[in-house]
Amino acid sequence: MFVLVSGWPAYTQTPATPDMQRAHPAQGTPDNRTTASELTAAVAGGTDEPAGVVERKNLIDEYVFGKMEADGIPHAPLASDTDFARRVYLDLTGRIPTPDEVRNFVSSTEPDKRDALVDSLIGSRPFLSKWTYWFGDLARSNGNRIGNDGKNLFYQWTYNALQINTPYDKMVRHMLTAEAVSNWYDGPASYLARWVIIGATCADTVHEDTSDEIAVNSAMHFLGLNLQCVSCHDGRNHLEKVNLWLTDQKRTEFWQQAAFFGKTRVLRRTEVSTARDEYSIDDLGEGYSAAGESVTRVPRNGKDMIEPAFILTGEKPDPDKPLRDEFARMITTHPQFARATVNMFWAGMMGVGIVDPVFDFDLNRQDPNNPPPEGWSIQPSHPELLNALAKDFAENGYDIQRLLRMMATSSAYQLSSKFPGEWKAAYAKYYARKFVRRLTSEEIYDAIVSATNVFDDIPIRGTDLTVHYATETRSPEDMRRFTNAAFFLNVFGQTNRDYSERNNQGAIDQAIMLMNSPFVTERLAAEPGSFLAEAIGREPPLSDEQVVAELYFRYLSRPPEPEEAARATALVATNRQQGLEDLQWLLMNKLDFIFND
Amino acid sequence: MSYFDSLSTRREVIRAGAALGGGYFFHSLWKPTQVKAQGRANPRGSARFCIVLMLDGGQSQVDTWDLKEGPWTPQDFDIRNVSGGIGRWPYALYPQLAERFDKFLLARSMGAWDAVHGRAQYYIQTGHPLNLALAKEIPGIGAIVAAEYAERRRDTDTLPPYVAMNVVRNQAGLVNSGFLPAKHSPFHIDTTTKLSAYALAPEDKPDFDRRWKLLKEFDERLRTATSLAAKTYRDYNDHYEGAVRLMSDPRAASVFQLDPAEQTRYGNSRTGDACILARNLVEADAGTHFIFVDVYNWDQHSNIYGSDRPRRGGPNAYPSTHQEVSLELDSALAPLLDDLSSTKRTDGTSLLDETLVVCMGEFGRTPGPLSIINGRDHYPGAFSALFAGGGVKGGRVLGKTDAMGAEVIESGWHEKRPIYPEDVAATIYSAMGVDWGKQIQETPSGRTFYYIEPVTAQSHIVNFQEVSEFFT
Repeated sequence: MFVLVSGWPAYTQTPATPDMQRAHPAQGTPDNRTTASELTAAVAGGTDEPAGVVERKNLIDEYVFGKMEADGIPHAPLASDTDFARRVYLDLTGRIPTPDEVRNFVSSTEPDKRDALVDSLIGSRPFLSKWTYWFGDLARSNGNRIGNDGKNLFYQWTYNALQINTPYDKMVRHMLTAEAVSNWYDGPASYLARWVIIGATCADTVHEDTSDEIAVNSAMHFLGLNLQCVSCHDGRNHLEKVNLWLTDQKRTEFWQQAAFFGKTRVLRRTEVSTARDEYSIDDLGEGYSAAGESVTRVPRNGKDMIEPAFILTGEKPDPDKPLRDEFARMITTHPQFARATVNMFWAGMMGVGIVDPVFDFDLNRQDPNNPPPEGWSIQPSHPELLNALAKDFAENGYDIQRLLRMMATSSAYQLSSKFPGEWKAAYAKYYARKFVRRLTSEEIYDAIVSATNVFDDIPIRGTDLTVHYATETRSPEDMRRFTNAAFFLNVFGQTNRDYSERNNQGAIDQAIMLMNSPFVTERLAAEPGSFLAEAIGREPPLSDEQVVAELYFRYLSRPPEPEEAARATALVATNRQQGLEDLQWLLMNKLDFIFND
Repeated sequence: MSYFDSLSTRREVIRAGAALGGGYFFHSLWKPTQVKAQGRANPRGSARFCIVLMLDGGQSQVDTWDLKEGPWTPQDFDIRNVSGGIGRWPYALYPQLAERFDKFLLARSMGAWDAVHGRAQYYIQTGHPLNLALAKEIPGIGAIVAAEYAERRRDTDTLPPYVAMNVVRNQAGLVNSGFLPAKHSPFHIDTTTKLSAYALAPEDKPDFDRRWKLLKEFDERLRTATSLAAKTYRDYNDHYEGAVRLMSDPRAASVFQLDPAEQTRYGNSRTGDACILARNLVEADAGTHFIFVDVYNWDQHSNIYGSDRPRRGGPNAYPSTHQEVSLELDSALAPLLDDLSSTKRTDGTSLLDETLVVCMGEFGRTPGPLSIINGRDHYPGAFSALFAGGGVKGGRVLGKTDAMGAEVIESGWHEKRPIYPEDVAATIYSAMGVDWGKQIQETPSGRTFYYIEPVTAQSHIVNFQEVSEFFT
């Protein structure tokens, strides 16, 4: 049985040398990763300023800059204060900063003001909203699947857990071991309830399919492993070109993993004859049968009951302990749990995972001291950093806030997206500058409503609450009442958390939405309550220059450059009303508004 | 997958596990070495356009197009005998289609593989089972048609090849272009939002032109940067250029226009509006070839004949009873068929001749007595679908179910089994002139993608086929 790593890798391991990263001709390699990442990243025009030496603030920087130094790779300088502020607000809270927030930060002369800003954001309400929403996406929480009450309670539970900073391993154990009469009355129970597979009649749940689904999703979210393929067939003869580790896995071994949920019954509660999206979870089932009926997978062709064994170690559960407790223990204490988790958050902050995609780890390609066969490369861009971060995360109580703080305060995170001199594709895998990303659909929505100060009161379905930001909703369905907004979010690739995937590609209809959709155009005019109306009516009156500067701060989190200020002021001076509406439209359509660099 | 997928582009996510060299996704996919035909499909090419109306939720066959009367049938319900194999027909629900049997074909031998909305709807959109391990790379049928039609796209074409309407509530979401380039993705329209967004009214044009010109000045540095690293911004600017071309095309103004008199003729509903747009898109012939419309609210678990559920939410609300959804569909589909068949190209062929119209749910509903809350649950065993135009010979019924409507007893075509979503996909491809025997090798996950799963692929034992009987 495969064992990933016998112990924690040494923190001080020397960085990998380039020749360890050998390309497989038909495989995602660090080199072609670089090309594509490089193409999808962008800089707003290079400068020729020297990068200078940046401070190495924590272990992230030791590895990232250590590796660049060893390999002679130049890197971008630190981002400006305004660039950093916008970036860190977006990444930590999902929102752009207000003008006052930017100005206060920029004008501060405190030497550690970036650390202080990060500290003030972590744990703030927008932070909790963003990451609760993020967990809702991860767990695909939506009322259609787990009921309005279910998704609302899951939201509340996650929010509270993040607020009191529950150790992440404990959160995961709660989700995996929850027992409940109803997921409408037990927050973490919705995690398992969400993966139920419904049979031919709407009231039935299909036992082994549900166990499979839980096994697939828990391995994906908490171990970064994609067991989907081996849940139907052996890896052999299928995955040789895809994933070395998965190639060695057998469907029977997957069944053993799923058998940890063999006694778990996720049953749909019914009232009268109609099925409700309400589920009970207990452990009174009979076990996982290799002959169990399948509606979603290739038919099971075995005949025996399957004994559980953990797919990474072969460990069998202590017969005196509940199966799911044993599973939760095995999964959260395995080093791959911490590695997958830090990598997932790293991708969230840095734009690209150390292993990317984050749910496609190939465990046979992780250890530089034990390189994969000829033609394959080590999968992580920074294997030692990944191990060191994971070790640090585990040794410090699986503290998500601490982990995010470490990332956001690192110089590696704070590099400019603007690279001095000529950018080379090979630099990307070093994180030699910040990757640029398009804002997510909810981030664009939130940026537009906050910049214009034109909000909708969004009712949370099944509650008396209303919220103002998309990232405060409990699931995408909460926005449905607002046809224009719901459609706007949809065009920018919001997931319905049901079967659709989030999509951050660009498209023609997105440009149409930003230029001419009612969601946008209705927010341009100086209607009562809007920022524009307030700015125009302010006493003493604001000069054109002042209004222009304020608008640049509101949309782009920075003052206009002199040339921009002159151009915009001239526009406003000609016809104030029309000029200001035009300027709002222009700022909303500037690419630096919809991208986070 | 997760929120994190959003942080790099989807292409990037797929690419990192890619089986091909760097930059692969940034070039045309269509390299001869990667695309192979199995050599078994000979597409008929009888259509250039395809309109799919998906009855979201699952239409009850036994209460509509394969009518089975019973104690559940309301008293005084207008049901009439119709010749030509149609049999008993619910005039109360489909009075207008009843006048147009010659224009369409009913297949009563449909079968679905799944009884859960999202997974079954995914089948309709792709012709493939939902495999979450591969979902990110599987393109929808519309995206494949868009890709196949890319070579014939004219310089003057400004409308997107694949348009999808009213899909916000589809549980499968809107299946994207998968591993195909993003330009083949569906262009998404919600008919209840302002359609003027897509076409500039003459009175709005000066304002828009002024702003667009200003934008190019204000944002010049980002939009025109030439460095390799600025490609993200340049690509996004390309979307803007395409958008402006579309919005400024005079044809767009007539396509994205809903005339109140026409809306009335199409039944004053969002499905009626979608059908008007679909007709306009076909008529304009300005680049759009595949149109997918989600016709919502067929999931009648309760009170299927009851009228005790008033329509909520004003004029844009979805209809909520079986009568309402049926009458709405009837009112929208009939004038669509009329308009397509009465509009002739210069060579005398009608638009309907070159447009395949497919109308079907993702599955049927449980036959027999109603449930104790007077509804019907999901049923994949047998249901009905409507096909028209694009070479389909109308005025016929194919297939037959048993007395209850529970089982297909005559398939009505050369395969002695129900018509599955894969067969419908093959039929669409064939009519559209797409070789449905094609396979694409070396997808990002290192697999082979078949337009239609062949019998030789592991675990597929059904020989999926074009339903050639539709056309002969």
